[in-house]
Amino acid sequence: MPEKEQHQRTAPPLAETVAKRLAESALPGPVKALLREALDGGADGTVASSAVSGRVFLDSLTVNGFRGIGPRARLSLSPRPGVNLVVGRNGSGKSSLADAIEVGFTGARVHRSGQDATRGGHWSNLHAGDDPAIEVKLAIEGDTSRSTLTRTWTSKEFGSSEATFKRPGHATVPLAEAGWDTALTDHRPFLSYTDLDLMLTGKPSERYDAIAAILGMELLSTATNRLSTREKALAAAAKEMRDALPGLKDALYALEDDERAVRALVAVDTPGALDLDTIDELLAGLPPADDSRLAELRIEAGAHGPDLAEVAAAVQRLLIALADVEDLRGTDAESARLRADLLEKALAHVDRHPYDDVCPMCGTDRVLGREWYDHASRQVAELRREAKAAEDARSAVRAGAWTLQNLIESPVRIPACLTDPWKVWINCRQITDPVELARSAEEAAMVLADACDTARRSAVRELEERDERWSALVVRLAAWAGKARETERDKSLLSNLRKAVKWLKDLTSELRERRMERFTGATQDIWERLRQESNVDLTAVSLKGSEKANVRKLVMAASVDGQAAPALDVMSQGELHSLALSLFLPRATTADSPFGFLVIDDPVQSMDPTKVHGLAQVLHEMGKHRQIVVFTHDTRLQKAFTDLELPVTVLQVTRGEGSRVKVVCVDDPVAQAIGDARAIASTRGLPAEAYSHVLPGLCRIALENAFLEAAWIRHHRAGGSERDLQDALDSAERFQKVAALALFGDVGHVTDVESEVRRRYKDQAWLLIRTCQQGAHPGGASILNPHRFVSDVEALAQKIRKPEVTA
Amino acid sequence: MTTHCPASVEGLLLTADRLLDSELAGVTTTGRHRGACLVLRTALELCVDQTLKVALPGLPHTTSGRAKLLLLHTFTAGETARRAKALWAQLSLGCHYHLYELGPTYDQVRAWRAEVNALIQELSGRSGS
Repeated sequence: MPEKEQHQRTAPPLAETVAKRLAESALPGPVKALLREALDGGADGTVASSAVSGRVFLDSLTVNGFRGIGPRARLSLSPRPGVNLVVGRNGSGKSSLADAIEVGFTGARVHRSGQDATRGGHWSNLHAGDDPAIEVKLAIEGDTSRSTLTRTWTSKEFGSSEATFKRPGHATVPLAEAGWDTALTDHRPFLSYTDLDLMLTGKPSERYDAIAAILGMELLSTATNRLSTREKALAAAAKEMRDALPGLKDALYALEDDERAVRALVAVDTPGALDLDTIDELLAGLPPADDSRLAELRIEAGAHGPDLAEVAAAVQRLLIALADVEDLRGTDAESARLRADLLEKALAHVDRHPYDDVCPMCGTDRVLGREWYDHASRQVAELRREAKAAEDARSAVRAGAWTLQNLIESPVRIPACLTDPWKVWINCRQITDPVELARSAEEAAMVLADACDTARRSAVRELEERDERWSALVVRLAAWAGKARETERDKSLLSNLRKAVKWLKDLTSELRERRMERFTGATQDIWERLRQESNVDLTAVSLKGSEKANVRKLVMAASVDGQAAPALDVMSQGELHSLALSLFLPRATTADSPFGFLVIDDPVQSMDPTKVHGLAQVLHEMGKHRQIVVFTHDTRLQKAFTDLELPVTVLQVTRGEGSRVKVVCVDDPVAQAIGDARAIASTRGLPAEAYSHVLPGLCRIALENAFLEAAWIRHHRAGGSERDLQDALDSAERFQKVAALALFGDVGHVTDVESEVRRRYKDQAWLLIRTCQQGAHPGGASILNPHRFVSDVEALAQKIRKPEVTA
Repeated sequence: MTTHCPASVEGLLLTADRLLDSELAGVTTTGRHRGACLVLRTALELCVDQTLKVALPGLPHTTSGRAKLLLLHTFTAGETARRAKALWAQLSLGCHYHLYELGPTYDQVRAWRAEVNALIQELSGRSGS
């Protein structure tokens, strides 16, 4: 047992273990960061300032108007580890006090299934139930003064209570802000007979839950869930992307004549080399350099033949010019002009010789008369006009041909299918004969325009068709590419998350197993103590099924005289009771519990006398590290502590008229030692050694116990570790070191103990201590008046216990 | 807690064994077990007395049981003294009638018998050295 107890005591809280393991692990940095983030998130960032992290001990309980307690009753405890028995007859108000502690903390009472936890029955006192109130003063590790938990009721309803919490240096806040809700359930520091009953009569799954909760894996499971959720989201996205790929590929294959689709296909379907850049380029619609067909199509779609109207007009104009020339055929513009010149010269001759009407050339008389003159003049004008028309017509033909040939253009790129008609059209430029030109050009233009139209229409249709399919695909491809990009980006995150989750899961199962082992060990140890001569051996306690399984259960295997059997079936009522205690006690005292105290209401019922001895030992062991408050009407437990010489504080509850409940301390470790010393002092005629050695030894124990009490309380206030105190207790200089801790809060002051004792308690006190210590030396101490000596020691012990008002 | 008849530790242990294992006409099983407890307790007391007599000659016969067991702490290992006291208390419970309790069982008395034996060995070994 001591070893196990040690084990349990030194088991660090889960968060610490996990942080340490994380720091030690060989995980890559990013994985560690993820884990740290997930683990820290546990607090959800809403840590109230009053939240308590140090271990809590009970300092006092003040109750009024609650159940069997009328006017103010007070139970004072030493807020430190140790066993406290609160004894009293049935009906003395004992259970009301026990209840008050639980109700103070939880506002409810443990209830059997079918009962309402908020129903209090006759919960307020009949005599003084007007103003029910429960006040619990708590000593919290590291706090220099006490915190106060106050619960009051706003109405006659049991469920209408409100609790506040006041921690030194903090404002009064609702109790919930102390942050104990989970711990109150998981590590329930209250154990009543009903609890024991529930532990055994409840469903197997409830037993499972009761034990699983204390394995305290919430921190890990919350973090695991947090990471798993992220991991699942990422994995789902990646899967969605992978699942969409075959469909996308099929669609791209369907467009295999589209270079874009082919490129996209290559980009998405090259294993291990997803080419997102190409996809982006495709999505952006940038013209690809090597897509000849598409380029061809685009050119075809842009192909425009000659403007037929223009060509027709030009041809028309040329034809008209040609017709004009045709009309003037036979009219020689030159000869007409020469004739006109000749006639003009003849007219000029007549003008010079008005009276000479003989023709100078043929000599005929009387031909150049008036009549001839007029005729010749008209003829000159006609001839001149004729000559001009012939010239104009000719130049019109030239202009027409030129205009028409100018309409023939050769584009930068000629689509392949239009090469021939375009060539014919272009060749028209070479035709010199305007008649031929007019004929050929018009024909070529019409053929080409026709061919262009056809080519363009079909190209446009094809482009449209392609674009339609493509743009439909583009949407799909874009969506897929987005996912693919995310997946690609989150790839390392996902892998890190997986690593983190795996690490957490492994750690969880490992720690869980270890904790369960520890728990089982503790349970078996307690069972060993309690069973005494029972022939039922508790062979195993284990959790069966996962936390979410419907069939989960707590398996308790036993063996009866070597025969394996389920514990619950073979145990007697008393044994079951012991078994429940064996399960409950380790549960309430795991290292994760913030509660340094444990309240047990009447655990002795239905126990054999020998089991009571076992229980006393168990409680004593637990009392080394926990403040155990046991309420009992059975005197056997107290007797068992005395018989086994185990230190214990006994408080007696008595009830007077009008529910006046009083609690008096009737025994404690100091008083026990003093009582023993007194027993020696009272025995007459003992050999000298009894007074010189035994008596001082017992007195020394009384003083040491007093110092220990003061030391513990001081140490707890300073938030010192339990181990330091334990080291002092285990050392050879135990008395000095404990005294130094009590007086200075520091074992280093061993050499100053004497002067401090002299200063605080006068020189006489130091003499008493010296005398007590001499009892351990061969020479012994010389004590003249044993009774007086014991009384002096007792007085000094009481002074030592009173804490210094300074802190 | 003092014994007036000259009894030996060995004789008492033998008596205890007989009471435990043999039938005695007209005596109930519980009665025999109680008797065994009584005898065992006497044997333990005798042994404690002998130990103290060696360590503290002149210890008055009238010394109370509590004082004796306290004195024992000084002259033997603390754990042995504590066990002696615990066992003495258990045997005391076993040999008295308690209104609401059943008598000790065979197994319990057997266990106590073994513990008495062990303590006698330890105490005598220590006093002899």
